[in-house]
Amino acid sequence: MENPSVHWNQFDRYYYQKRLVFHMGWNEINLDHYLIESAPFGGLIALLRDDQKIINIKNIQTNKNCIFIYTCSGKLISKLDYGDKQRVKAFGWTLDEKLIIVYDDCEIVVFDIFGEKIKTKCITSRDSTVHLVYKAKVWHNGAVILTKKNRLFIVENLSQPRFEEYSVPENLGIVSDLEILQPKFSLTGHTEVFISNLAKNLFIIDNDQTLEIEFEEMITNLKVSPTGRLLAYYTETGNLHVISTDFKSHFLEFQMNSKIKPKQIAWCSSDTVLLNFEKKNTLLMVAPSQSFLKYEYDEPLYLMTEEDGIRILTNSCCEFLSKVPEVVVNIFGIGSTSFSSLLYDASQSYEKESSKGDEVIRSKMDLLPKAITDCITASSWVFQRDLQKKLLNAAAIGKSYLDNFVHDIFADMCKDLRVLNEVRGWEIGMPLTYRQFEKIGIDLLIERLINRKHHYVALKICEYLRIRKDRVLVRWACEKVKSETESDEQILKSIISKLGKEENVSFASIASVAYSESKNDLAIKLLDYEKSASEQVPLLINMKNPGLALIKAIECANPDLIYLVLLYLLNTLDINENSLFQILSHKDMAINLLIKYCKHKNKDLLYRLYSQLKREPKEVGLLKITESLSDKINLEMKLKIRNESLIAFGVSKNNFLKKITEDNIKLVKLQQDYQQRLELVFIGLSINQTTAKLLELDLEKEAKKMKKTFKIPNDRYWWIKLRALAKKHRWKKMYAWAKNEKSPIGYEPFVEICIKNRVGNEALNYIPLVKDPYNQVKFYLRLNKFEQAADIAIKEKNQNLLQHVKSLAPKNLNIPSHI
Amino acid sequence: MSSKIDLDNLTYLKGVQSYREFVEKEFLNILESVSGKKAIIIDPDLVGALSLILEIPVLKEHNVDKLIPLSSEPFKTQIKKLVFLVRPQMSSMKKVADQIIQHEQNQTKKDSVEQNFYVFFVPRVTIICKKILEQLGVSGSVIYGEFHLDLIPFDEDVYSLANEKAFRDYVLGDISSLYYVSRALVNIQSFIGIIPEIYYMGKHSKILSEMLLRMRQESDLDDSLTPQVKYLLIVDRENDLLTPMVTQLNYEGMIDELYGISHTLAELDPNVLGKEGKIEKEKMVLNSNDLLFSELRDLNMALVAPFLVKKARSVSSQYDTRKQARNIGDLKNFIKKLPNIQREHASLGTHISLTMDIGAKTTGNSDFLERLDYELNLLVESQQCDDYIEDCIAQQKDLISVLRILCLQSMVIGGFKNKKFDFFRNEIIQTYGYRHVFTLDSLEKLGMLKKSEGRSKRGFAQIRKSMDLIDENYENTKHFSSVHSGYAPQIIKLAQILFNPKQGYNVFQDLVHNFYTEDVGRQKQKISIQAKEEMKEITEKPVCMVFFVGGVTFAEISAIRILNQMEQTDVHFVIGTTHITNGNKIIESTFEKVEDNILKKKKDEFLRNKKIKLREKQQEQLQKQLLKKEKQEKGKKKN
Repeated sequence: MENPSVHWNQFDRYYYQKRLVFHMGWNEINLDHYLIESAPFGGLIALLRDDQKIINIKNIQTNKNCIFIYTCSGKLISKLDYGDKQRVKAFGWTLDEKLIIVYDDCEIVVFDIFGEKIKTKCITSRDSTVHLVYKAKVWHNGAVILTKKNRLFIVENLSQPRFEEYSVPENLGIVSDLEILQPKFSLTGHTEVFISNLAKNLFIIDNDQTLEIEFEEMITNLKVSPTGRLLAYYTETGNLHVISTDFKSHFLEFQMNSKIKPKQIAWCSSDTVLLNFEKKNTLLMVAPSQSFLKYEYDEPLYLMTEEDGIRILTNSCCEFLSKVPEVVVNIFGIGSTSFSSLLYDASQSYEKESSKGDEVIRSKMDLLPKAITDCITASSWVFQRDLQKKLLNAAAIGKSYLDNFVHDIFADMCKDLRVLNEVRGWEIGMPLTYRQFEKIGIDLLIERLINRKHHYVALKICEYLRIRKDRVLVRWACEKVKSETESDEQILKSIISKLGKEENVSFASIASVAYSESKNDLAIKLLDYEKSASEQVPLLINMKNPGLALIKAIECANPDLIYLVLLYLLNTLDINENSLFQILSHKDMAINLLIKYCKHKNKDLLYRLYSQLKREPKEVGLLKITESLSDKINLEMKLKIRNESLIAFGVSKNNFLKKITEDNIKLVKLQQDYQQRLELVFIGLSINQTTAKLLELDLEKEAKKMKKTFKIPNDRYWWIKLRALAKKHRWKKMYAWAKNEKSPIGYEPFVEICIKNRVGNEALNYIPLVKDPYNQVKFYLRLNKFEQAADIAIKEKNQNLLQHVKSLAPKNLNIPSHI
Repeated sequence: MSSKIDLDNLTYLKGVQSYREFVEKEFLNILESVSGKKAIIIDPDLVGALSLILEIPVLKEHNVDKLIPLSSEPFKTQIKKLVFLVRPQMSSMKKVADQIIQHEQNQTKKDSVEQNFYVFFVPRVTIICKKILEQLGVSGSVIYGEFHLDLIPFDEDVYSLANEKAFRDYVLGDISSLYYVSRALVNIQSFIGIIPEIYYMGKHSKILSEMLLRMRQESDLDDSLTPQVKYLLIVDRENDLLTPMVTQLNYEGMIDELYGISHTLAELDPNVLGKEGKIEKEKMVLNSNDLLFSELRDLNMALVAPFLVKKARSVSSQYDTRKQARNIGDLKNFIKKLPNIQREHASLGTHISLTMDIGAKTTGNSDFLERLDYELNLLVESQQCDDYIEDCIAQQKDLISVLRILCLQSMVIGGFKNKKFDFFRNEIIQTYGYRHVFTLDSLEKLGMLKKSEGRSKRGFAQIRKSMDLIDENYENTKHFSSVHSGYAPQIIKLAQILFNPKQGYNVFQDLVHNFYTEDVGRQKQKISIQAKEEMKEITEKPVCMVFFVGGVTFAEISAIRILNQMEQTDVHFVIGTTHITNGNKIIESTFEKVEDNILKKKKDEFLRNKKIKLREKQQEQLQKQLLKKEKQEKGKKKN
């Protein structure tokens, strides 16, 4: 086997290798005739016929409004019909290989690779102006659109797309190129847009400001590096520059002295720039040191910048150009003396059953662990399986000399390489490097495989790597459900046999597909396997099976789901009330929720529900009263409803409620009368308040009538009157009243209320009427009448009390100290 | 001593801490997910909860420019991103919709740029709410999210769902909120491990415990976590509505009774806190971060003042160490301690002022003392106080306080005789208004107010005797009955019995069965063998969470803390609850809110008309004056 280094090109200070990955499987595709976009990370290629190119009709495939989707190995996946009238202005890929298309009316659509629309987003505009796209650019999670009227719209996050507008400088003029700095790279966390124009300006626009830089010549091409740190631009006179994206440093100026504009600028490993000159079919590689390398081709090229290199697509093949990592150089580099290289050689001699290797390895045991990891790392870079094997073998032999080497790194690499080799095969055609694989992660890789309907491979990978496989199975089942050749029974059987014992499988999502394929029975059967009710219920409602939905909702006691079913039942015209009650019967939880809901929204239904449920008549009466208290109805109506409630209370023999309500009706009638006569608000007041108000107005006769009508106890009547008089400060009247009639509540309240209203002199009137001498003393003391207090104490012959009074009294008062 | 010290080394705290951190981090992630400047429009209900998980300055750091309480009132803002933080309630949805629509209409100038609206539901989004928003025509422009804050850490040993409506819902027969309680308990178990043993008493508790088991099967809870809480005791407020009617007499309970505590905050007049010259109410934080408060909160009010005096002496003696300082070293030591001493000093000042104000309102108030007397006589000797209640009504005292003592008596004596029952109800309706038929009906349904049915075996007198609820000697020995000056809260007593090695489950079960409810039992949750082994290695007392469905009072919380210190049980208790309640809140939740609105509306309308008339009058006068002036001036000119 030849040494891999023979394919390396030394360039600048490094070695580069251009590796052939695939011979294209397609026939007679001329890249020249197409606009091309490829998904990053070895993803799919989309080809759209370029209308501006004149093509020999014979040579092209006939489907006019189609985007052709190929793998990197040139295997046709699908022809995606993008619609009739609309013209595609830009397109690109998401990381999980969904195609993003920007149409000329600013509509953005995300398609799956088989042409199903997954998401559509338009600019919603109130005055229904149509925004026409001038320039657009798509990146894996968003898009930028510049309209013909110079408005700039940004979409970030395609899973929940929304438009944000950036303000555009007025002197934008004719645009020569437009480039995006992804939000994750920008300082502000927002998408930044770079726009160059014919007037030699470069604008840097973000969400709240625009920066304008004037250049000496016009910029024709812009390209941000894969890490987002650098920006390469090409000028009209053939100068290539590299600057930092914060515009603080300038790294490279390289003069081509050619006025031919490159078709593409691309990056290789974030420091080297590649220029694709279409007309000469030349690829020029420029290093930071200004040294350059030329690759000549005899066919058109398309360049796809990857994280760790560049994918080159031609009519006939797919190549990958990248830097050769140091570990690999150390092993295979000619004349390399690194220990990893020695280890590799030693392992080769083992193969030849020579013992020479043993000596070599034992010579520098301290360097062995690093050499082993280097061999493992190197194997990750290599594409050829036999070379991978040799490197891993070298690592394995080295490992056998060590007791404590952590086996995991080796085992994990073997597993990962096996997965990678599988997807790198022609059939799947995804030339992922190990670095790229680390970056996108296994989840996204699995997602891509499922999207491409490689369910079996995806499943095997999950099993091999021991990760959750429910997602793969569910998506497989969703496809299975669509099968038209098999019967429902067969489908169910094969789904259950594969998924029945798995955990976390969402049967609801499978059932939902079955339903959309109008296989209702199958859907219901599938739903039975669903564990989560919140998944079952909405689907059952969709399937117009509210009865079952309600049962499932109650089973899990989730009020939200129960409400969902109830609302459906109430709002669906073709369900009449009888079947509603039938569905509800014996389902207390649902009934209680319905009652709660009806109390707010639908009283009529509630009465019928009560009678259906044979609720106590008392409850019906109370319900009537609630209704009668509502401020939406007039007084007559209120009285009418309250009268109706009397019947219900009568039936339930609830004398108390009946009497209270009768009282209330009487009260309201009286209040109505007062209200008319006195032009004051009475309705809404309690019996106490009404009486008090009458007394405050000096309408003693009416108040007495209230007392009589409602049998207000004497005590309480006195209290009401006392408060009313105090409120109106009618102290004289109060005193006359106290003198004329004997108070059933004593005279303490009189004193208290006078003190509270700060009329101490009035209070003094009542203290002699107070029966309890202690209370008398207490009141006198509160009013600072120490002599009177002392008198009482003396009268009561209570020495202690007298002492107490004296202790509180001012010294200048002559209070006797003994009785 | 303070509950803080006891809890420091508990294993369960680790899980709880990680839950706390998780909640905080989740919220910060929400803030970060909305890049740039933003305004948060928040359910007023949630402001308190939010303040418990992070500090307001943190919001500023995350570009939150404004925190606006949710209402339908329009407000103007330049901020493009509006983040709503709401409870999933129908009434809130209307307000959210109003706001979004108003802001969208204000945006007509920049026609094609969408405003950014984010609606985060706490703790969970419901299909219903989304549907309502959809019907109100806003869903298209909104991004939905969830903030899974269900159990809110009120303190190190108290976790509340802060669902103030929980009890009212049960009153109306709607038990749907139990589902969310269950979700919350399942959720917290992913931090503290699966709780192996569940005890329950009461109708709602039983439903909840069944729900918990079922929900655990549906969710993939990790059963390999070491269970940090060994027992869950679920109790139902419905089984003891008597205790909340009794005035809370521990320090924290007293503050709640007099000023109200919401989400650990008490809003107090500045003069109560001894701060003069201020008008705005001050918010005082009441939690164990205030070390002095954590020592005070569980004490009976009678013991608070002496304790503070002792404390004041110790603080002043600490200051005195400065005088005794002999050399620079001593002085340095003193300076080092100074911030602590000063903090303690400030806190001491606040609590002394507060205690004085409480004193004036309680021991200095004959009404309060009279009330307490009647309460204690009822509790200790079942001595009835019909005349007192009748007097209170005649004097038209606050209805809530009237109903509290009325219900207390009804529950103590097992109901009123027919005639008395009708009499009191009639008095209440005549005095406080017809709409209270609903209040009385609800109280009756809850069993808080009823007609006696002869001598019942389940009466309070029997409970009092069998469970030894009265402890007259509470002042001298440390006993949790001190929170009600000698009456031990029943549920706490039952918890003590359940975990007392001499009594245990069978005694507990018999008592509950005889006196409270048939729904009593226990269930086990499976845990992994590994977890079982690990649990055996824990040497500390196992932790039991007592979960109150329908609310717990501060007095009961304090009682549990004191019970922990009494060292008579095998476990260390912590508290979970749907919300923190008290007698007033329970009574108030039975009020039907219909007529209030009308009266208020009428009053508002009346006032508004008055204002308009006044303004018209003023304008008229003004015009008259102007006319006069003009005339005068004209006259002058003529002259």
